[in-house]
Amino acid sequence: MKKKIALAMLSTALGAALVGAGSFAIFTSSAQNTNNTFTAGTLNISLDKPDGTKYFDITNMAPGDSGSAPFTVTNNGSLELRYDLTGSLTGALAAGANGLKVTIKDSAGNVITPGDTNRVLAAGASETLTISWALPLAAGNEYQGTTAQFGVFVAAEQTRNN
Amino acid sequence: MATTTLSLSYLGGSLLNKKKWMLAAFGSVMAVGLAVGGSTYAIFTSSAQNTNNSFTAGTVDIEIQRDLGDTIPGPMFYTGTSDPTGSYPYDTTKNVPDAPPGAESLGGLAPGDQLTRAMNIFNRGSLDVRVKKLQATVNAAGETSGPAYDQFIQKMNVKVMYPAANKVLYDGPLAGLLSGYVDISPFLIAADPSGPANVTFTVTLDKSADNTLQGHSFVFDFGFYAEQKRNNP
Repeated sequence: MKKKIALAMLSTALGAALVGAGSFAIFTSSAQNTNNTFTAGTLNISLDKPDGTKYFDITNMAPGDSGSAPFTVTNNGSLELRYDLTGSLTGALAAGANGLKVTIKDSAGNVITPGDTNRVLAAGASETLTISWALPLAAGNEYQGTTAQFGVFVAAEQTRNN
Repeated sequence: MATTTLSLSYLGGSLLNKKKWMLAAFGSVMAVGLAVGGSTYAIFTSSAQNTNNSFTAGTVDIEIQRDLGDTIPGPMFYTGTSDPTGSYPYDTTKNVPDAPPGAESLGGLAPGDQLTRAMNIFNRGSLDVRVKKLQATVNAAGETSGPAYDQFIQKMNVKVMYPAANKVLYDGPLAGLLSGYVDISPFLIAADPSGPANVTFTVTLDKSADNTLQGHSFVFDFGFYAEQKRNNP
């Protein structure tokens, strides 16, 4: 009889345990930290004169003429950049051995090798370079009245992680 | 992420196990990162350009015209037969009665005759020029060789002047101009809107010319040579 009671109590306890499983709860708490911000930087290179506004328009050139015009390359972005500098010279005046010669020089007067790929500008920095030209005295009558066009191109990349 | 779940599930495990899983998780993140980078690698770029900066060469171009008040192109010195167009601008016997005196066609030259004619040199180019050389070439419309020719080019004196600059450009026998361009006292002609340079040619058939020349006819062309003034000492 006592065993039976004990069995009954055990089953009751089991039942209580089952009931307990249905309404199980503990104390909890949570905290959060929001608004952690990530902003991508900007890369923006520019020339002081936009395309369509010429740096120069040289007319009535004679053999032996030379000259120069400055231009400024600016890093307007928030990231440091390095840029490729290229110039394109086309037209009959620039053709042949004695045609017009155009070079780009840095602020120290050194000729920048065409295709220079490692000119670094810090964020907000700028540098002024010079376009120099010369029509050799050896240019003959075949160049009379001819024309040439010059374009300057800069293409930049971020320097960090690159 | 899958890696995070794996780490959490082993929180209760041994420290050794935990490290192992974290290592594995890190490795898998690396692998994923590399795979992404390989397929869509990119960096920030920017470019700018300025094109169509232009250069134009100037021109050097001189044009010569005879000048005695007429605008009809033709030679400075001519006879009726050497002006087949029939203009005869200076021939008072064949043209208007009020043609400038002394400007008639030459008719026939006799030893001792002296005639002056003028020429305008226009700068038709865009650059200032300096006229530096002069030459004469014999024209096959007349005799080009023979004893009469040989005497004529020695006995015919040519004096070319640029009166505005008080310069004698050439003074000597015609023969001296016949072997190519000879240097003359250089003079400047500015580009438009400057006017032409007026030069005069005075020819004198020396009195010592003899009968060898009688009835012979000669034709010569005169030419000037100019260079750009700039960058040219």
